[in-house]
Amino acid sequence: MSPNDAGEYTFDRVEHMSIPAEPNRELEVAERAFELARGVGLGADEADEVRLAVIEAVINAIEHGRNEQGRVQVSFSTGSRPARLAVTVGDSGRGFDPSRVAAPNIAEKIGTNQRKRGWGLKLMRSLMDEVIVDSSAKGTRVTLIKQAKVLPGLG
Amino acid sequence: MPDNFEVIVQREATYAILRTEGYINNTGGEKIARECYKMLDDGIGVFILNLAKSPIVNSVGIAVLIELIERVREDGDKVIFCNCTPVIAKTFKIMGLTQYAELYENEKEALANIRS
Repeated sequence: MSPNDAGEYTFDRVEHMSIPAEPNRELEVAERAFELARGVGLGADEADEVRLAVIEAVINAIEHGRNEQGRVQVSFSTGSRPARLAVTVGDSGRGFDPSRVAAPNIAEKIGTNQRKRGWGLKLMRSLMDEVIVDSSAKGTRVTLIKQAKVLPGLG
Repeated sequence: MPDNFEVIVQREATYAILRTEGYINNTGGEKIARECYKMLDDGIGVFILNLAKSPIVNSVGIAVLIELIERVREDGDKVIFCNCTPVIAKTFKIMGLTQYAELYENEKEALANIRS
């Protein structure tokens, strides 16, 4: 991901990570995202939200889209003024159409035979400022963006 | 990566407190659920899950907890969460889980509400 390819956002620095598509490896990515979020000046709660959203993106990539080497590719882009972080998680799976992913509803899941899973995208969208899903038959890239809240009079 | 999840169970006559430590993924969620199902069969119906030492969860682990909540509610009983980090509490609210399970700041508040 180049510093400027996450929509209208600009970034100063990019780093990359590649992890094996294995259970619990999402924690390594999430911890790095948390460190970077704090490093650019996001608050502890905001950084926690980034960590959880990144976990969701990476477990989806591990589950649905391993590449030929069985790895998940991640890039972290950071910027300042205001502080912001973008995390892009890429896989080489079959892809999906995000517009066809039904929003999960707890009332339809409790007391019914409906599967209890399927919350990842909803959580990512609720916890981050922006989520960009770019998916095709060759793979999926999910970019999660979080920006520090600018207090009135301080911006 | 090693799975270091642990759950310590304090069993009382009508309720139990489960203090978790570690990442609540599918394995962690299943360990919690297994402990609760054993006690449910013994007539205990209120489960207080203290997540003070579990600051990280994922939706697969929470899905296992949804199954637990569903099963506990079938018998008219309840699951209570306490000591959740702000992001976990927010996550439960986003999912609508707080309509089916109670959420309190700490064990003291949770216990006050099961005794009231």
